[in-house]
Amino acid sequence: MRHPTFYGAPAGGKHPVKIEDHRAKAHSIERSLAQCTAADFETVIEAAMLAGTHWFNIMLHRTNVMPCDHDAMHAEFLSPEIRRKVQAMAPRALHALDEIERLRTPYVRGDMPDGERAATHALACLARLKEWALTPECP
Amino acid sequence: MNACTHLLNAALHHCGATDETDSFHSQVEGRYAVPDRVTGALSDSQHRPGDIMHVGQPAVGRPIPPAVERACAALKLIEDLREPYVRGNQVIPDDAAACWELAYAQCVTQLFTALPPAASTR
Repeated sequence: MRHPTFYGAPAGGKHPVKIEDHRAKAHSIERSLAQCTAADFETVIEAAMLAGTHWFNIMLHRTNVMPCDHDAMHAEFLSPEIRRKVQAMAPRALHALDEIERLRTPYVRGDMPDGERAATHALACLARLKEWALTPECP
Repeated sequence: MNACTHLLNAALHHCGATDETDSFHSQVEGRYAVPDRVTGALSDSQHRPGDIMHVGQPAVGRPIPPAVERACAALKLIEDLREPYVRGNQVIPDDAAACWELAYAQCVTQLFTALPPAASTR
């Protein structure tokens, strides 16, 4: 069994993803997301995770927690050191991405009931991540 | 990718390559969430491959039919698009979308041949 050893991978392979690229990606994914309804809850949750992770990376780069040439893939796989930093700096943002990721197992891969409610929650978490990434307090 | 992974899991269960367990694969390879269908609570579990997360994750470890092998190859192509084009910002080549749609169609077609008729009704 392979355990995740991800502590921040080189961003975008050979093409480093800059803050503006993350912003464009997040907006692009959100445009696709806008075509979904809560009934498309699997897609909503996945898109919220993908867009949310781009917003999260903007936050990591703007705060210098992680350099622009390295990106986080999942909050769950952040190193303990980086998680502690983010927890201290932006606990609500970290919690929001954790929450979106948590929804994938039961509602995207699994068949637990109330997927529409989960999708609504994912969208609220995405909004929180975006708000934090764009807030002036996020340096 | 997600749709094909569900179909692939159905095909792997059907051919006996993986177990049809009431558990969901987590973000960590080989770690499953087992639902309590009464309370809705999830508990962690590590067991023989039930659902897989991605092609080869976890490894199935049992022989699979050629059609499923071909489906896995097509799905792997789709999975590998995430790093450069979803997470990353590589420029999309002109004819890429058609190739990706073809990979999706091939994956679905191959998996439907590996599933019983009732399960493969579109």
